[in-house]
Amino acid sequence: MTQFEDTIYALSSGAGKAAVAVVRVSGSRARDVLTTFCGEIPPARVATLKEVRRPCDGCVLDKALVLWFEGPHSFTGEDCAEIHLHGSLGIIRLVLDELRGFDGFRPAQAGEFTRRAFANGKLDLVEVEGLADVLDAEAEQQVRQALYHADGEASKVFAGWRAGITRSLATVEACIDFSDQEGVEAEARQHVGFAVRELCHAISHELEKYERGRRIRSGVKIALVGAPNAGKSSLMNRLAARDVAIVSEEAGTTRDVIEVGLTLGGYAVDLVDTAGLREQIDSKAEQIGVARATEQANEADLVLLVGAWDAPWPENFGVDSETIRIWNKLDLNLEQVPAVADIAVSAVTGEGLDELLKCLEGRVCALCETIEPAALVRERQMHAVETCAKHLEAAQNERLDMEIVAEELRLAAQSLEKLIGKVDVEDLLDDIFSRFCIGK
Amino acid sequence: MSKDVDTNYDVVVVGGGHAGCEAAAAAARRGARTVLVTHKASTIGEMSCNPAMGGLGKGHLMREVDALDGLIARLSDKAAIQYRLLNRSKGPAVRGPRAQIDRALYRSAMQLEIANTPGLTIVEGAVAGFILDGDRVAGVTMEDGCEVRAACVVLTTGTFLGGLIHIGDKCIPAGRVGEAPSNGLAQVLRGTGLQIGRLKTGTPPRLDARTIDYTGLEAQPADESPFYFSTLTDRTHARQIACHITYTNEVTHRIIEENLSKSAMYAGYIEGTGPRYCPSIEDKIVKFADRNAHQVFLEPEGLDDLTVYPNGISTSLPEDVQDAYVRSIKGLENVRILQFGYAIEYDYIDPRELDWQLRVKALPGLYLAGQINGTTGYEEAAAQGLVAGANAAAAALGLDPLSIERSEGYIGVLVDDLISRGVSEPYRMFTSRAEYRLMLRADNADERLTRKAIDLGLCSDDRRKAFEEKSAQLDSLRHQLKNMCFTPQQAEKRGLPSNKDGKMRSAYEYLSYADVDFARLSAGCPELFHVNQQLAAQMEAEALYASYTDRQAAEIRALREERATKLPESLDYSAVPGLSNEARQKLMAERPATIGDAGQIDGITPSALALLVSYVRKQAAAAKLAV
Repeated sequence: MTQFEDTIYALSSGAGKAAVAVVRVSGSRARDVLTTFCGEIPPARVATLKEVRRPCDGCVLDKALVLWFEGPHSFTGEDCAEIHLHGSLGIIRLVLDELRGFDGFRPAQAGEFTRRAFANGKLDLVEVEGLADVLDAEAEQQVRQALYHADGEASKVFAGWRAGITRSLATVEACIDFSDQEGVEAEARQHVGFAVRELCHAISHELEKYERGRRIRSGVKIALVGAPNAGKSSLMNRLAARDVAIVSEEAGTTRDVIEVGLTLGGYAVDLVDTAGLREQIDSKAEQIGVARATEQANEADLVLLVGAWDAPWPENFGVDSETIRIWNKLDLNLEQVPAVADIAVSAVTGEGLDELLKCLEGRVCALCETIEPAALVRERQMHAVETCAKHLEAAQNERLDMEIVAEELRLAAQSLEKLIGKVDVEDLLDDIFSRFCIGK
Repeated sequence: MSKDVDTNYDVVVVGGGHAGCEAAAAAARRGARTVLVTHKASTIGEMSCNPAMGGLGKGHLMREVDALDGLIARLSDKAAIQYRLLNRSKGPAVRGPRAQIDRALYRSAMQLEIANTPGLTIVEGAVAGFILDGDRVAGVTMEDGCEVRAACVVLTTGTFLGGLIHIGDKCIPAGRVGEAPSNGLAQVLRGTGLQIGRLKTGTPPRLDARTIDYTGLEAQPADESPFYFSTLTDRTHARQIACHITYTNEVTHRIIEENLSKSAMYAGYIEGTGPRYCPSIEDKIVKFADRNAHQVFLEPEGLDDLTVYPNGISTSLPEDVQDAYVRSIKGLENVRILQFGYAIEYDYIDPRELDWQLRVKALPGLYLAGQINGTTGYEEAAAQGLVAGANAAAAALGLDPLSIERSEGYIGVLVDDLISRGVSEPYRMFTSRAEYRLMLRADNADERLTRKAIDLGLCSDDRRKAFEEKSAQLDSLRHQLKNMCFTPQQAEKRGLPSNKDGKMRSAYEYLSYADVDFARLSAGCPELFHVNQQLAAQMEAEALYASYTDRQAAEIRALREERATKLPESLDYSAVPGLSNEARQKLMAERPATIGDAGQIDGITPSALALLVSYVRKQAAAAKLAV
């Protein structure tokens, strides 16, 4: 275990008055807190009601629920104590003031508990990222996916791949370092060929799910695009049920990009309003706005192409399967709704909005749903795994010498290390010796 | 020991095995007045286990010792009786030179070499303890009461420290068969407070060649064109012979199974841990119960020696059981055992007590090399001996130490593995231990290390001249290949693969293709006809791995740059977030100049280093912004 001399403490619940305030302490001297405040260490991992007494005069500061976790069986892997105080500003201040005076104690820096957990091998990087996602999550599916990562389920997928690579590497290494053993080489080629193909298959399956995982994590991006004054901002306000964009009658009001988050079918959605698209541009600011609008539309998972009788759909805008054509201003509509419109609405009266929401929910679900949760949800993770896949592909080339196959497998494992840990040579030898009879 | 010997030396080496000889010779090459103390001068250079040198990883170590002008490779070439390059069918990075060695020829070559090394004296006798000068080791005391004073002591006592031989339930204190252990020294070392552990290793019974029936046994001849251990060797010195292969069978396995309880190891007489990769036959039968045959190599111990070493059946079973199971093996039905197999247990010192110079951190002046550090094998011992001897001489004479990084050689991997991980079983080298394996080839050991040897005064003039000449030829060939560029059409005309993409490629690039070797390249390029085979092979290997080694070289550069990161004189360690108080105090006391120096401080963990690097970089970036 990594040694950290300082013991750190922090108020781990939100600042301000609340029902309960949790003070967390981690480090080699964490036990001092409980012996000093409560006179003894309660049984580990059992919530115990204790009086918290000030050491100098024995005055009772609060009656609190106290928890003791002995390292390494704790969040950080070090000795940890938690004190659940009444959430009074006065009590919190008194307790934190006392802690400041403890020998070898200091306030924790942001994320320091998690950093220690990471340094002590209690969490890997993917779990740390998952934990961050849990804290940020708003929609139900976001929470589910983040928990899948924070609880190490995704890491198990990567660990499984890595174990597979290590096994193949061990076979190849045995074939190199113990070449006098009968039958090792043919066996190795065959085993590696088969195992690596299987791995590649599993990895490409995960890579296919990446887009869904990414959408769940950062929200499905829906861009509202259309000619100026088609009512995009009004529609956005209707969908978000609050005023976020400045709406006016004058064409070209939304010059920049405005985003709002909402939840559809349990999935997070990022609704983006854009500047109107038109040929004639009057100001520099509007020009930039239009460029951004195009960019946003290209990046979006879904595009709501908004048109109306007085602001028809721009002719030069490419329409594909991810585009929904909306005909707005039904309330003012003097002409017939065009046949190609997917949905007709009125942002003013709310007519057609239920239908639109239902349609969006269906599209969003279709863009996100997976049978198994996605293990890859960040670009960083996806790139590491793509690199891994590239090296595994290369390792399958039968014309390569065994030591180059080994190198490719090593590079494949290394790219997974960026996600989950470190391949140790001793591990490799353990693997070799457990499966081969080694002689000369 | 006579009273009139000069008893004031720069370096005293205790032990005349493979580590001791290499240590003494290296110290003497650096100009240290060196004395080698051994129980018996006539056993200097003894090969007490198998009669072979080299192999995978081990052959690499020998080439590196040779590149540093050490002895083991050059002398093995004088005594080799069957050269075999292992992994010939695999790529050049993992080919390992190996040879059967005539034990007598090797021993006499080594004794001659040691006797003729200038500045090196031999003293016979048993060492009883150390002379201490404060907390510094300043020489050794002998059992006869004499003192040998020296600035530095290199201990290479092999299996002699508390050595205990086991055959069945018999247990004999010994360093080797028929030789007394060094129990006094073991006691002294136990008193120093150093971490000491127990390991074991085994040997097979030795057989009388006249009683082996070779008819029907598979013969394994020597290579037709031998790959020599030393770059200075240009011919085979001894007659080449074949080895034979036989196999254990179900009868053998049954005899062993039935007698397992009589094996010293299985009956629990041995506390030490044995090597997994050189298991006893008892181990093999238990662990690989599904195999019904194991290979046994019948290796002659010399041209004029009737002893045969059956590689693959080391044992600590009682004598009658050894007799029975050996005779169950094909060809050995009527064999006579000359010396029974045994297991030997001995003390080793946890190598984490050492620094990268193989110096005991807690006892300045004391260096350890070989089996005492928990390794097994002549080659591993020799490599450590060279490092310890060269560095003991450096300390005694105020010269630069010899440092070899993991990226520079298997020797660096060996030393780093030992001092940073310690051992849990006898440590032997494998190519898979080297993460930079594709760069660390047997063919380029001199390119990697001889320059270092020259700079440190470890290298003879003859070797320097030979190296510089070869190195210049190699450079000019590389330059020539990189500057010979062909269009796809030109390449096709020369019989090279054509990519039809209009891109010019150099001859060096073509050589990196798996299906283009030097012979194919030179067939279409008359200007390459003159290139000798050795250079061609080396260039072929270099080009083959270039795309991988370029990437590794970049990694190594980044690592070196990080280690070279300067820690400013004014650095306020108390301001570095996350640093433990212990680390902070040590850093403030030592004030290391670079991150690399900080890493050398005991107790500074990799995570502390990472915090320092990121802090210093942030500070530097902030300073740049402020300007």
